[in-house]
Amino acid sequence: MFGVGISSGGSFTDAVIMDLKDWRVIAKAKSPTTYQDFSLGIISSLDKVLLASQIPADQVGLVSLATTLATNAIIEGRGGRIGLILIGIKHLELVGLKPETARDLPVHSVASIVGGHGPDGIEAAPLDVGGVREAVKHMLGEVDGFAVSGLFSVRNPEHELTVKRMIAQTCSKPVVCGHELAGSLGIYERTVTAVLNARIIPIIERLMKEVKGALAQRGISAPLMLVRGDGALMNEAVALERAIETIQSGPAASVIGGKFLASKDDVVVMDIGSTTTIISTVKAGTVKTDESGATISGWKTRVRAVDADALGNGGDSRIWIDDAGRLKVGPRRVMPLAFASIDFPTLKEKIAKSGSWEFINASKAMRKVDGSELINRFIGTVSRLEPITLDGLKNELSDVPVVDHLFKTLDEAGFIARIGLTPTDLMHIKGLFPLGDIEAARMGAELLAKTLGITAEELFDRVWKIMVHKITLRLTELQNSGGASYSNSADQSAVIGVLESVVSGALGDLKISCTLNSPIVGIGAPAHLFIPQVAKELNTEAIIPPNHEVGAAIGALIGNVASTSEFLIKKEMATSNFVVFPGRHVFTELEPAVEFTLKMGKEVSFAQAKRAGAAEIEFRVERKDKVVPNLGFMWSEIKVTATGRPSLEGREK
Amino acid sequence: MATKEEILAGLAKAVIDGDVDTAKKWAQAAIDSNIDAFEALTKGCQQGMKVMGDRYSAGEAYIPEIMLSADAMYTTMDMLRPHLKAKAVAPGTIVMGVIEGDVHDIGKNIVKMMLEASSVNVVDLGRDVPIAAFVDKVKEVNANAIGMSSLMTTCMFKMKDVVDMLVEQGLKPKVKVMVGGAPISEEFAKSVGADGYAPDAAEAVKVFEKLMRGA
Ligand code: B12
Repeated sequence: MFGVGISSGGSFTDAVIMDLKDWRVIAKAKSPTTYQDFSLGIISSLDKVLLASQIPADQVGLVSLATTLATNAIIEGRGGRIGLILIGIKHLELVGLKPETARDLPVHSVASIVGGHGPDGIEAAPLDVGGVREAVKHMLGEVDGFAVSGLFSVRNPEHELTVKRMIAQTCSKPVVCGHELAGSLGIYERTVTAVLNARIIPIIERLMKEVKGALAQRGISAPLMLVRGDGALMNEAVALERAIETIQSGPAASVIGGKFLASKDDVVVMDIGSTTTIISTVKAGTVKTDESGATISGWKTRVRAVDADALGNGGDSRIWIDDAGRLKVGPRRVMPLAFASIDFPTLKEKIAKSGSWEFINASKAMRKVDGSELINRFIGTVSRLEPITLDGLKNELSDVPVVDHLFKTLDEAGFIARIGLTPTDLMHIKGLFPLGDIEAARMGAELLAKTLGITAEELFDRVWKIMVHKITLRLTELQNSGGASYSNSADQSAVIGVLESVVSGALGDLKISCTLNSPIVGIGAPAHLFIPQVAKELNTEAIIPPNHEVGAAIGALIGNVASTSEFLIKKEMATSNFVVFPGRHVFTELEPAVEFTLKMGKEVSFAQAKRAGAAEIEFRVERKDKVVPNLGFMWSEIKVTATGRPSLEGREK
Repeated sequence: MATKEEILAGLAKAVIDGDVDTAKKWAQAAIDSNIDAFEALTKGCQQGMKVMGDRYSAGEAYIPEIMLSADAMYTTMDMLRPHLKAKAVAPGTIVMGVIEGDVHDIGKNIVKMMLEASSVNVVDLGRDVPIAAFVDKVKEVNANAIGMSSLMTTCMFKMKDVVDMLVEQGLKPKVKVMVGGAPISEEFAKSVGADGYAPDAAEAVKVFEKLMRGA
């Protein structure tokens, strides 16, 4: 049997097909990512890889997909209309629902209902069932789905479940409860997670439907898996309930792919993509995750995700000259000239005529323009003239006095797409990247080099040095902050200052060097161009494995299906009882309480993992006890994880 | 005139005897001799209370006697309060109280006195304070910190519930938590997620200042 892994995030959607027995890569392919409709790029890369491999459809036993669709949808503010039902929350501003908070939650309507529990899992106030009924009746016709979030629902989910049942009795719209997606305290984060999840369900649903349809057309009946932000896999049935867990799945797939390709248990994975360089760490075979939850578009969620640092430097970083005449790279992302020239065939002419290598264009991002007349005219002009230089636009709109201001505002809001010279263009010139228009790239590079009074060759070297320096510095900072703790921020910036000097060699005759203890594995198409130099700076080994350019697609395929459930056993001093949460199961002795927890944990996580498509399930138990001298046992936090390989036995009904 | 040692011993004995009138006399003597008010409290009255605690543990003293001692202690506290010398610390508002189920408030009140003498704004919830009341008060007065006291091993665990309340409502990193009381240790404080612990009132002021400075 063979498996297809697809990673759709950066400028390209990558696909691999691997032998599921020995993990041999049979074929690989790339297609441009189609941001307007992800499924097109996904299906195109799928077709390419199938064709290249010559493997018949009935030999494909598994298809697994890592996609940034959910992330993009949230950043762009897309999604369904959600009715939020809050239970037992007195201070609405704490869940981001008051004007004085920076951003409102993206909900259509909110009802605040009396009820909720206390930290001991005991009802703080009875649920106002009448209030729920009333609220649901009001919202029903206006919303696409519901989110339900109650105070201390992770200690006792009863009220959330009651509301969910009540809604399910009146309609079949999705209902997402806070406790279903998060096991730890933090009503704000759970509410955000539930709301965003409910919002993007229809978007993920559509993608799955289209990809599934395409698979069926090609005669593939294998289960379709989605990668989660922690690298684990889930099938469609579960992905439709937990769509939010696909955020960060791109970085997750790349770190898992990197670890696999390097066959190392301690390694730093660097994925040099088009927009960003992602840095993550594997220690003792475990990928570092952020247990407190990933932040997306400014919203803190409780979604467990790989702890990946995204450095705003990648192939599509803007190469520019600052006011002081210094050469800079990034952090802004622009569309490489080599690719823009394909979308806009007149680009080369425009470069020649204007003598400029930077252009603007109206962004394709689907955003509602709140159309003041000026803004509409501005956007209209930019769209009509296709790529245009900023000076050209100012001439065109010379009667608009606030054109600079307008440009700045619209640019910050993401209405403006920029085109310019990038490392990707330089790679084209070097013949390292064969997909775009080399001539356009060369024209831009020569213009910029001329401005600096250097040759295009020298420009290449200098841009490379800057990239390597930035990546090295960020890596040393990360590795340093991972191990060190500072008593204050002044100490921390002092250390970073020293690191900067070490990396840039700016300490005069004093030579200090940094040594990274683990090798660096490079993932992504341009990895081989940067990583060896970064590794050299840090006195460590660079691993550029075969198939590194499709590392994330490989990572998407090799993950396991997993499900974790979290419990708390607390000793209640007044009664000397041991209480298991969620739910308040009371025991007089610790051991039976632990036994009960493990049994329940295994049952729950087994059922969930099986539902998510796992076979050959194994358990992992993590237990953290709090014991204080003289007082003895206080509480125990227990996590039970069930993992298994994806079952190849066809799709769920 | 009595010596400092005599005055401190007198205060302790008055508390042990639960003798309010004698306690007043010695408190006035302490003020007249310019004895540091805080020293008079901690090295005088508090020592007397310690003796009562030992006697109670040994079965030599009973609750009514201890209540009389507490009255004597409070009388001296009232007299000494205006004479406390302390320098102002970093400004801030702290919500204080004795945790649910516990009525021992002498220690909490000494801490409160010292904080107020250091220009800290103390919002006092008193004793036997339900856990939700701490968080509600913090929201209401927009406090920077919570100070919880407990003298009973059976009640001190509720401090964790208050911290959980703060975490659940996203107030934790902003609102600092300080705990104290005879059975509380540094280790215990840490384990319930408190940001600070102090064994006595003088230390409590320093800890509060440190927390407000964010160090
Ligand atoms: C006085 C006293 C009482 C008085 C309280 C009067 C009052 N208004 O407070 C009365 C008579 C009412 C009383 C009642 C009871 N008591 Co009683 N009581 C005591 C006694 C003797 C002294 C406590 C005291 O005031 N100490 C002096 C103060 C100044 O010290 P402190 O509180 O430790 O405070 C200092 C520091 O800890 C710190 N600090 C305190 N709070 C805070 C807060 C913060 C934020 C910080 C930073 C620092 C800080 O700074 C303070 C100043 O330096 C103790 C015995 C003892 N040795 O402690 C028993 C004791 C506390 N009581 C005890 C008991 C059992 C009881 C009763 C249950 C008795 C009964 N069977 O009815 C009841 C409890 C009622 C209830 N639900 O709370 C037990 C508790 C045992 C346990 N399980 O923990 C003790 C330990 C006696 C014993 N050895 O058995 N009690």
